Amino acid sequence: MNVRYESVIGLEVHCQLELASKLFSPCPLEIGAVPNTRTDAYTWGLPGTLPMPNRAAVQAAIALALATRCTVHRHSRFARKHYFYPDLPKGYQITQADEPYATGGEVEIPGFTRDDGAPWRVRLHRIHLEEDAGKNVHVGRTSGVDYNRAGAPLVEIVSEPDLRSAEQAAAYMRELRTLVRALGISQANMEEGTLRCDANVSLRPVGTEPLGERCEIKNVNSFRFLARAIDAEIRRQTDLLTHGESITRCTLGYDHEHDRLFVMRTKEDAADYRFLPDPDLPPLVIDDAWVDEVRNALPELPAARRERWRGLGVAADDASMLAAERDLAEYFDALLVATGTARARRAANWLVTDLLGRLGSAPIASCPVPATMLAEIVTMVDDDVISGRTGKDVLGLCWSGEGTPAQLVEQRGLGQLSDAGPVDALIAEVFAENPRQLASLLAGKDSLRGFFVGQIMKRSRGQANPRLVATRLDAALGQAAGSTEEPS
Amino acid sequence: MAALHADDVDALARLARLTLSQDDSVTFARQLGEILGYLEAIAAVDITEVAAWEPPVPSSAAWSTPLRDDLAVAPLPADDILAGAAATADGLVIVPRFVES
Amino acid sequence: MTLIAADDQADLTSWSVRALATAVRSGEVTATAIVEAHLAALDRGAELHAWLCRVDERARAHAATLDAAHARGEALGVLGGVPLGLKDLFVTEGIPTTAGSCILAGWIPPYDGEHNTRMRDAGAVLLGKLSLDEFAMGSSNENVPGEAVRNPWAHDRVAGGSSGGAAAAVAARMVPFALATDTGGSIRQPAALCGVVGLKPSYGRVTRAGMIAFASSLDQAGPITRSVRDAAVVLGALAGPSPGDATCVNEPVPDFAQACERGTQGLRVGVCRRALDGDGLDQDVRVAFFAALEVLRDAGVTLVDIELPHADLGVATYYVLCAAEASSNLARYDGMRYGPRVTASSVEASVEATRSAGFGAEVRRRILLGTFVLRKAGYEAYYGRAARVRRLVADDYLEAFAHCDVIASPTAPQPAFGRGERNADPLAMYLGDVFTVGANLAGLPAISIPCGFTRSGPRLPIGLQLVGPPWREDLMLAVAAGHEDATRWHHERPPRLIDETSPAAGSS
Repeated sequence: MNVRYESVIGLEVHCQLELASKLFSPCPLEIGAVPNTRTDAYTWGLPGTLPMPNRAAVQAAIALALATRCTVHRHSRFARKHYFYPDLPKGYQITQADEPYATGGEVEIPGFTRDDGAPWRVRLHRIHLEEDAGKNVHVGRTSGVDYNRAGAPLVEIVSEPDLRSAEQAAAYMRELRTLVRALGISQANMEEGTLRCDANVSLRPVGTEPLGERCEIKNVNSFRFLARAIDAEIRRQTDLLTHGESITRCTLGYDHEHDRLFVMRTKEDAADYRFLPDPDLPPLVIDDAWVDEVRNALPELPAARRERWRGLGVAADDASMLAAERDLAEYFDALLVATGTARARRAANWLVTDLLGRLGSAPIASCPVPATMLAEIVTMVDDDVISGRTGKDVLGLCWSGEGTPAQLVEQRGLGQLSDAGPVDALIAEVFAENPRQLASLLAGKDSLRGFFVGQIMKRSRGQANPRLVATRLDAALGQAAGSTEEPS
Repeated sequence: MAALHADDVDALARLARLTLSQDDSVTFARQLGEILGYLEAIAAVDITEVAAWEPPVPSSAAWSTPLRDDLAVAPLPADDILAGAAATADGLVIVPRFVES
Repeated sequence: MTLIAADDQADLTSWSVRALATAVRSGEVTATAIVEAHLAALDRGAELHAWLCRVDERARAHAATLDAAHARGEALGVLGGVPLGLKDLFVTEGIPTTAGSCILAGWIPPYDGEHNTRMRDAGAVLLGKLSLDEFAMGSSNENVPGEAVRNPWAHDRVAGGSSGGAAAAVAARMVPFALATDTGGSIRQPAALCGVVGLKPSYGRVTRAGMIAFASSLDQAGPITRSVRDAAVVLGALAGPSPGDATCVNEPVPDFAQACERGTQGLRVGVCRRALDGDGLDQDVRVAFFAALEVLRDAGVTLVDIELPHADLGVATYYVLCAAEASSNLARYDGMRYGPRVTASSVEASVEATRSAGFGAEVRRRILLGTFVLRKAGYEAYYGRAARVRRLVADDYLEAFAHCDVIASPTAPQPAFGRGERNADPLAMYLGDVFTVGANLAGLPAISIPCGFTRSGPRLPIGLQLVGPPWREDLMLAVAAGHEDATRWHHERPPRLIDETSPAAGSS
């Protein structure tokens, strides 16, 4: 029997909101601080402490819900989810259970389309607000707990099982990262844990509807490992099913060092979280006026940016790359303002290939070349004032702070030879020095044409306008042909 | 429904992270059985169309959660707060090893 | 109106809150003299076991600071120089706070709860922390790691609970007032059993920030005093918006003292006679209650019959909800971050051992019950259902208040019962809350005031409960003050402690 299986994947993504204080207490929030130096009585779960929600956290959550086309509910509620773990100070986590603040919604994944060519959309089941737990550090036979992260504000974004491959899942995660960064609500860094993901994976025979039994992969901390862990789980389940075995629901961890999944919990010992509407917190009310206010303040979203840039002729890959980071997108838009949108495709190319190449992994904010300078270079190259090669040199000089592009071109005489006279003189020199090659070319050996272009460009130290060189060379060759024919 | 066995009580105790002596399990089973029998009184009440209670609020204000501004105040000094823990080392609260897998 | 009974003039421990504050402000007495007199009373009354912790030196230093401030001409707060005790459920920075439980033995809070802060800001001087049933779970103050609190009127009787220490200390003139908490009657019932005044405000009137949670949707802090007017003054200092409690309303604090002077003319007092039919109601309590109604009628109120059709469900509803919330609120006590820890090979074993050793029987019972009603398998049938029945119980009150301004009942169906009498039968203990849980379930203000004594057996105080409409402490206080003005029950004092320590009274 040779059944083919389709993988069905849904993600639960946790994203830490970037705020001054925690979700339910005015305790400062800081990633990477010395252990237990960012806690207060509430964070510590001390007796007598109560939660008081952070308005900015709700505001950020509303922005995310609007950006993902969710329905924002006027009335939602916080609930307590109980389990015992040393990193959970109160013995329960305050989250949203039956009544999340946002439901529905969808996210488009760039680079993936359906069979009919429509963009691949992942439906969102819900988004809710919740507080984070602390962090465990294992030391020999004992464990240490750092409560700095306890109480940190999280949004949990739960997708429908609309993903079909590990790459798609990773792309969806990247898109979420792009989105929350564009909104300015989270650093969304998987390595630092401000973006985390649990993946639910199941298989079903291709062409069938019902979902198979699913397994959950917990807490994978990079895009690469996420894709690998999902692939490993798909392989594991495929293997079981093709051997006639069934899938048992379980929770899995991923050991990235050995590219291996391990079982953390099976269905039998599934937890009973004893959810309870939190009696310390009256319902969260988000009125229409607030939603409108947040909607009006939303920045342009990555998907809209990409679409706008594509419309200006920017290559799809460049558009995706530039939209991924808000600062970068803003840099590009500033570049476009200076170059004019007619040069968008080339401007994007310069930015992606040349500037980002120099930047490496550094953020655009640390770039020493402002968008206006890069725009000057792009424009001069585009207008044939300088050659592309010279443009790259000028960029290098600007990068080292030698001056502005206009100054550099002026002072160092880097301007392109765009007048026929000097170019004709160069051509004459090259002809004079290479009579044999000229004769061969005139005799029909066209492959030598490139040789002459190269010699002329070399003699101009790269400053000759290549198009001008081409036309003047044609003219000179015509003349030379005439003059060689004449005596015969 | 009201009859509760010592085993049931032990299962509850595990969920609540309590360990009970055998005597305790038996006694609690009997007492909780009686109490649950009494609590059956609410089982017969017609609650269709009845929403969960919410506290009365003064004037016309809605029963809704107040929100605070996103301002951080100084955290509690680590030494002060760690002083209350049974075991600490290097600024961490030390707990016995727990099994994560 | 005299604030001080003539025969008590010499003894500062008999003065009211208002009299003491007035005397300190006028310079008639010093805070130091007041504190010394009360500390001596604490020494004399040690065998009531009302106090879990005393802070004598702190109190003396605080009094000296107040006296110095007064000498410099600085204005003292409304409670300037008045001593108080806090039920040991209130968090006090630098002072042991135990909730009456071994699980918090030795815990010294690194922060101050708002109640303690507000009292200090008002100039009140803390003398120590008062005994209670563990985590406020109980009606007899016998669920304690140490000695049960004795009823000052009869040492072989319970003081009531859970705020037994607070009620006994106020009744025995150790402090003119105490702050306590009320989840199902924990202020009112011990106040009734000890012959003092206990006031539970509307839910949300007083902050819960800094009060160790038992059942969050029911808990409310309030004063125990020896007069209605003292209760009004203390409530005024305690109430008001709180940045730390999302359920505390952002409302200005009414003038509660003024409300006491409104008079009772034209007010309607509702009585649900059906609730008095059960055979659980003590005959002396019944007699005292009807006598109190006569006093009110003579004072100009109109008595009206009301119905509370779902009142029978109150206790059952209450125990489902309070156990559920308690099991949740007490999940944090695992010995990891604070409090004593029983070490074991794994964290799970350590947490279980710590909790099992740290919690007493009643607390464990309620945690188990709460866990039962919150499990997936029990939620709808118990917790979900009780949350709705709660609305029916509460709506009965709102309906009744269409016909009356205040509802009267006995506070407790029985006077103080014998120590150890109900320990083996938790259900019997729970049924004693029949009159008090309604106000907690409905979030209503309620007060218990002295209204007489038993005539058979030992002379034990009896309490009258008055419940007000939502946010109408003023109506409740007006009726209570009217009753107080027409009676002298609040001037009654327990037999001199000196007599009780004699061999005759001490034999048991």
